[in-house]
Amino acid sequence: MKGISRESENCVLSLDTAIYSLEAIKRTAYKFADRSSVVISPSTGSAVSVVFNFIGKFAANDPEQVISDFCNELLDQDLRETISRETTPLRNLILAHAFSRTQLADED
Amino acid sequence: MTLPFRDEAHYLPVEKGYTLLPFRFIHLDAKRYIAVNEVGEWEVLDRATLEALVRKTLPQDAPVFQSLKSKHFLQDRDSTVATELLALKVRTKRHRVAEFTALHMFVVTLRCNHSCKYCQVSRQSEDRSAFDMTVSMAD
Repeated sequence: MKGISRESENCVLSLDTAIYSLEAIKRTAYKFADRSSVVISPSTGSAVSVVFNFIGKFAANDPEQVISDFCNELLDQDLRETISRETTPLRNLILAHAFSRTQLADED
Repeated sequence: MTLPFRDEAHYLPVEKGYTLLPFRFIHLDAKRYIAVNEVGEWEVLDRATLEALVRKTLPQDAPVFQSLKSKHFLQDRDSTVATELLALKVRTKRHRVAEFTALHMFVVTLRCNHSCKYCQVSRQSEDRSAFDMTVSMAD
């Protein structure tokens, strides 16, 4: 798979933070914590290296499949960021409107 | 004298495009996603449709567009009341929040002589009074 290299037992995926935010990469890494420990470290320019240390059966099975799933999940996280960026102000407005006049907050 | 018509701009063709309303999505299976919004409305989408929705390239004449619009996943120029409707639905769905807690449980001891399989409590034997609520705690 393009963008992947091997360092002894580990696989390294190179990602550009100009394309994917660091937050999206971290969220994806957290979601894959059951399959691999992930270390994110700065690389050249805006690139970061994502080092996979596979856990249990995922080390023996197909690591590339895990990385492929990681890339798909990263795309999903990117979409979620787009939705959040566009809808957060509206969501706050809806919630504020929904809970206005409920006396949840102390007026003093 | 006031003309009985609105400004010319009002009669121009409706501007194309739409804006997203808040929603979340997660994998349903290998090929499909489920998208759910603030009030629990949901829609099952394939990845291409989901991405088209978010990237604003979903055709407005597609059946799924009308479905998403009616469930308040998006709003266009024809559906600007979606925000108020959503707020009303959120308010109805979560009205209990405003009422705060209506049920209070006092666990005065963990000692128990039963062994019910479904019990969520880590029961203690009858001689372990250390697991009783003290009078000072109760006060």
